[in-house]
Amino acid sequence: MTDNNSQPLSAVTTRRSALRCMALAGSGIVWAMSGGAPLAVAKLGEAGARPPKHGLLFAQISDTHLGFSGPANPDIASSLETSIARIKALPRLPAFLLHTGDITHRAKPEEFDAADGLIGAAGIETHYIPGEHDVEDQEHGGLYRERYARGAKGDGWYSFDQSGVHFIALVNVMRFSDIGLGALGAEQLAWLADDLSALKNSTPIIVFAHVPLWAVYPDWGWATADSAEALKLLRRFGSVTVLNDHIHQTLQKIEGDVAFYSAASTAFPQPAPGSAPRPGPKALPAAELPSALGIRSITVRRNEAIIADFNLA
Amino acid sequence: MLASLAFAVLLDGGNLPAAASPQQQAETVVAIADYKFAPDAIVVKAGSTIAWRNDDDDAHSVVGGSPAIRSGAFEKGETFKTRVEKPGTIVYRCGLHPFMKGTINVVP
Repeated sequence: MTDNNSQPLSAVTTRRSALRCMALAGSGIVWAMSGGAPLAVAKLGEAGARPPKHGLLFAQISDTHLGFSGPANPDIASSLETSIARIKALPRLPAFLLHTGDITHRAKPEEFDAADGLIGAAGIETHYIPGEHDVEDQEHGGLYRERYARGAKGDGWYSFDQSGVHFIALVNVMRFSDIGLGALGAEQLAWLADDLSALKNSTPIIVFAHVPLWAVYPDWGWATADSAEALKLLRRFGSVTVLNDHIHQTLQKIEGDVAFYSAASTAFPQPAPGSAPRPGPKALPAAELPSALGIRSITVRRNEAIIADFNLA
Repeated sequence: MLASLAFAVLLDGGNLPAAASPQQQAETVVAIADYKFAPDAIVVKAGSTIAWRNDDDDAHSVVGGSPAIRSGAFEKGETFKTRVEKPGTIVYRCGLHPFMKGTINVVP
C-alpha cells in the first residue's frame, strides 16, 4: 500500500518544465519548490557545486541511532562524524540544524551523551524532535524532554520563527493508532491550530516530524494516523514543506501546495517501502553503505524551499 | 479492565516453552521473530510471569497495559519479563514497531 507518487533519490524526474538546475559539491540531488510545488531538479554530479548563495540555509540530520551495533553499520559514530563534516563543508554554515529524531537507539543516557558530543562538535544550534527510539526509557521520553524539550509544549512540540519562515516541530511517536501508526493527538492538533492562527497565508512554513505525515507505507507503520487533520490546518498556506525521516531513505511527494521530503539516515538504510517482508536495518556491502546514508541542506528563498540531499560517499 | 503488573527486565535469555493454555506457576514465553510476537495471543492465570525473548536482529520493546508495561528496547538474545497480577485483557505493542501487536488474557 505504498504511495506510487513518491520518488526515491535515485529516480530523478522533472515535474515541471521550468526547472532550475543547480550544482552541488559531492553526490546528491536538489529538489526545488516553486509556487508550492516541489521540483526534482537534477541529479548532481561532481565538483563545482554550490547550494543557493542567498536565502535562509539550514540542514537536516536524522536517525543517528547512537548505540546501534549491527551488520547494517558497525561504526555508527564514524558515520555521524562524517555527516557533521559534510554539513560543516557546505559553502556557508547553516543557520541551524534540525534533527528529526531517533537520536539514540535505546534511549540510554550514554547514547544521548554520545550524540550530544558528536553533533555538538558542529558548533551549530540544533533543534530536535524525538523518534520512537528516543522515548523508550521508563519515563516514556523523560530523558529526551529533559535534554531537548524543556521549553516545549506537551510531549515536546514547539515552533519558532527565523528569517520570516515559521518552523513547526511536531511529535508523532508518543501514541499509536489502533493499527499501529504514529499519531499527533487532539491536544497537539489544538495547539497547532492556535499556533497557525496569527500567521498570514503567505508565510513560508516548514514542518518537521519523525514519522512521515504522508502515507508512505502504513503496513510498516510508515504513516501518521491523524496527519490529515494537521494538513487541513496547513492548507491555506502557499508554501508548506514537511521534513521527516523514520524510514531511512529519501522520498518526496506533493499534495497540493504541500511538499513532503523524507530524509536519509546517518546510521543505516532500510528497505524501500514494501520491497522486503519487513522493515529494519538493511545490510549492504561496505562499499555501498556511504551512498545509502546522508544529510540534507534546505535553503528557503522567496517562498521556495530548495532541498539538497547529499550522501556520504 | 486491565491487569496490574509487576515487571523486571532480565537480560539473560529466556528458554521456557510458550504456553497456549492458562498457567500460573511457569513462565509463558513469547518469542519475537520476523517482527511478530509468537504467539500473539496468550491466556495466563493471574500471578503468572511472561517472558518476551527477542530472536530478531533488530531491537524491540513491549509497551501496553495500565499500569503500563514498558520494557525499554531490548536486543537479540535478550529477554524481558513481567508478572501479571489482575484478571483482564492487556493489549500491547512493540514501541519501536507498533504494527506488532499482542494480547494477554489474564484469568483468575
